Amino acid sequence: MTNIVLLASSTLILVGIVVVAATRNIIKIMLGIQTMSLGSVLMLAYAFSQSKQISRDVVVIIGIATAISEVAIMTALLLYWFRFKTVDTRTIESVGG
Amino acid sequence: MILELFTIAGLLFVMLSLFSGRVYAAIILMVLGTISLSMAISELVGFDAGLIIASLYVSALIIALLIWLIVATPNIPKVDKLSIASIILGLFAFAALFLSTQFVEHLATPKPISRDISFADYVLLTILILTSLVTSLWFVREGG
Repeated sequence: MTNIVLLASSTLILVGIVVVAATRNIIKIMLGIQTMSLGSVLMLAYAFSQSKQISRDVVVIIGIATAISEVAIMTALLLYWFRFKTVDTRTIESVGG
Repeated sequence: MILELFTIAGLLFVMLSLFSGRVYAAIILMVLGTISLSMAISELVGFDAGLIIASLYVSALIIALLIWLIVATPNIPKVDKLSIASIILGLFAFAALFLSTQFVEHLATPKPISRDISFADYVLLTILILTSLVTSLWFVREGG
């Protein structure tokens, strides 16, 4: 029964990869990246729980790090909007200054 | 049983979110999925880890919702070769994953390195936060 957790976390990572590869809306790309990070944190928490060791601090630090990366993506999203007035990555030829 | 329940509910919410047509509905469903998965994480490693992860991720999603209200543009779906190829490869990978988790015997048990949190970890976390802040400020300044 505990294999469900492993399967669900792996599915989250895979679906996140597919969404990032398939969509062109930068907000959906951000949601895909969040899905991947949620799946990896869940898988890591499962691994720690199986080892019967206290590990909540490690999971907290990894959660904080992934949340920070998400905020950085949102900053890039706003800049993307301010410069190109769109969130569709198909319309962008170059992001160079 | 509660762990599996929260995991399946979170997976369902996240899948609905990612394949939802409307962006604000996708963000709200992702909030629900994040909360369910954080409850599963709290069942696994303790309630404080799940609480912190849920609060950070949900606050980021609320900011994303506000940003979307500012930058809302019509969503133009387009199916190209890359989208189809990625979905087909994802289906193959999911089938392989399902078969391997259900029918292949696990030989290795997960065993991470165990140690207490130290002062160096907090220093590294502070450096990470400072680097992210400085980089974001630099981005904002360069972006005008």
